[in-house]
Amino acid sequence: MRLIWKVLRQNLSIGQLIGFIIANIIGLTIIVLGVQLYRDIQPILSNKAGFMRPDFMVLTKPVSTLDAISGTKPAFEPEEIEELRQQPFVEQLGTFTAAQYRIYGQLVVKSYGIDVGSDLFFEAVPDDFIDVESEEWTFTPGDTKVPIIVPRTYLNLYNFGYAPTSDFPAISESMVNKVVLNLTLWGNGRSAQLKGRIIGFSSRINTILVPQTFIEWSNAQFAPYRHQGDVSRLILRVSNPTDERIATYCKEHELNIEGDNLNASKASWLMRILVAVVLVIGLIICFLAAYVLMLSIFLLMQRNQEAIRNLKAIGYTSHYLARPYQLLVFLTNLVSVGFAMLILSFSRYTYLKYLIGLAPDLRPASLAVAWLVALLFAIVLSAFSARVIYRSIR
Amino acid sequence: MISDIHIGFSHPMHFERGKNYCVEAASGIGKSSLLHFIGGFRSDYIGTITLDQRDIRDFTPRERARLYRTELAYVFQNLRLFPNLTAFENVQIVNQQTSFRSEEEIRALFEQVGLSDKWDQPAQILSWGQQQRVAFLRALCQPCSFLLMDEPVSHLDDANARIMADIVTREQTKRGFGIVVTSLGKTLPIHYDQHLQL
Repeated sequence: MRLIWKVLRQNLSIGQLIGFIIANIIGLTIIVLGVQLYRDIQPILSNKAGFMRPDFMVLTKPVSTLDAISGTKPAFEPEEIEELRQQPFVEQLGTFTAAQYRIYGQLVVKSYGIDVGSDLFFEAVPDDFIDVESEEWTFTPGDTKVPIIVPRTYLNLYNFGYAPTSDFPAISESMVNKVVLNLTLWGNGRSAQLKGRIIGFSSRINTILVPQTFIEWSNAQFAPYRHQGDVSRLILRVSNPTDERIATYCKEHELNIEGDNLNASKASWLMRILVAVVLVIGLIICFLAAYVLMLSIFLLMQRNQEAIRNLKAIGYTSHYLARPYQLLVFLTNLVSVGFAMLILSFSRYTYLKYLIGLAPDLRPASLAVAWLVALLFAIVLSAFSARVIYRSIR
Repeated sequence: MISDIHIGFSHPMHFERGKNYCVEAASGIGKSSLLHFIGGFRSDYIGTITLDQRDIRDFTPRERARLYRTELAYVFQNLRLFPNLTAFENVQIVNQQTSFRSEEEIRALFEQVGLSDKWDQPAQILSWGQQQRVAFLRALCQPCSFLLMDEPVSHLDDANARIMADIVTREQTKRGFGIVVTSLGKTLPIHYDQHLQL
């Protein structure tokens, strides 16, 4: 093989070869970087690292003008709920149960001179959906104390909106826990005085929550004749909140998703498109590089045509003569893979610092897939080149 | 092992293993073409050429490669040496395929044709006569059933032609191959069983 290579390497342009290697490294680096970046941010996109969005969603039906005029409330039919429960993206489904009677809440803190009151509303969801863990979250009929969970935004509204303008002091979460609300419930010709205590704040559910057992008991007491079955809101735990099927389903069934939860799905979708674009650009550069290499090899073979013909005349097969060129292509591809992975490692070291800053729980993916993609690409490109080289020598 | 070559042209020719043939013709009549046709390097002719009753045009590229390695040894008119390889490397590039001869044997052959001092010189700086001898040695460094030489002594003096003739006769006695030599006038001085005119 040494003598054959000595004959066949004549007219080999080192400049062209280096040009190919550089172009191939650039293309391969873009490809592996795209693959690795996608894999590294995948946990963020699919919410495993948990900064982008919760995997709970609250669904409502839109209120139409007709509903507003006629006074009808948009509600979910049992069949609709069942259909939704069967969807592959739904892991768990819960319904909101609203209090059907009137509630008045009064907050008195004499030491601060606070005495405010307001009509309130209560809702309940199954305990599995509540993001506050507390032993106090329980109610047994006969109890005079009712645990309450309010949205964290309410506290923020008070602290940063109401308190500064009313000269009231800002209050912390632990302070709120000590505050007792005087609740008056009435309906069905009856009324009751109860004590309410805010035991926690929810970032997930945007309503005033009380235990399910309390709602069932109080509705039976104060609104026994009102229709209890209407479900106006649903809460879902979904397997992958970025699943496009959720958005499609909601659009098809005219359902609203509370908050901006769908934005994350859109962001994730956009991210995927960006990664795809990056991969395509990388692929194009790689194919162009491969094309340049093939042209160089063809030129080389053209220049060495007579030597190849003479080697065949003394008994060398086309397979044997193609081998040095095929090996050359394979080695240059391998060198490109090595450099591309090296550059990837350096780039990744840099971007992971930012990603981990963004999502501290992020567990970066391994480099295995990037290696696999790079090697596979080199092998496929080499195999294709090998075939073209053999055919042109034959 | 090929035992005969048949040229089925308008003037048929038949070459048998172990015998010597001299094909003579004026310049441009087709002596070189005939040798190229036999090996299947060219196929622009009317008629058939068979090697042991098998048409050369039916040989696959792989079979032809084997043919050039082990059955047909050529000394081409244009020699077909590799200019950037040394004299020895030009011989070794054929020899290494079948390991037909040891390096000592090749050195001895170089000695006999007076090229021992050209052993490691690139072929491109050798004279045509020296290159002719290198090409001749190269053809002897492979197994073969026929040795086909296209004007092998055109640039050699009589003394060198005599040396080549002695070597080829000795090799033929040992190995039993057939010899086909083309000649424009000056002929390799060996015994010929048949002189053919094109």
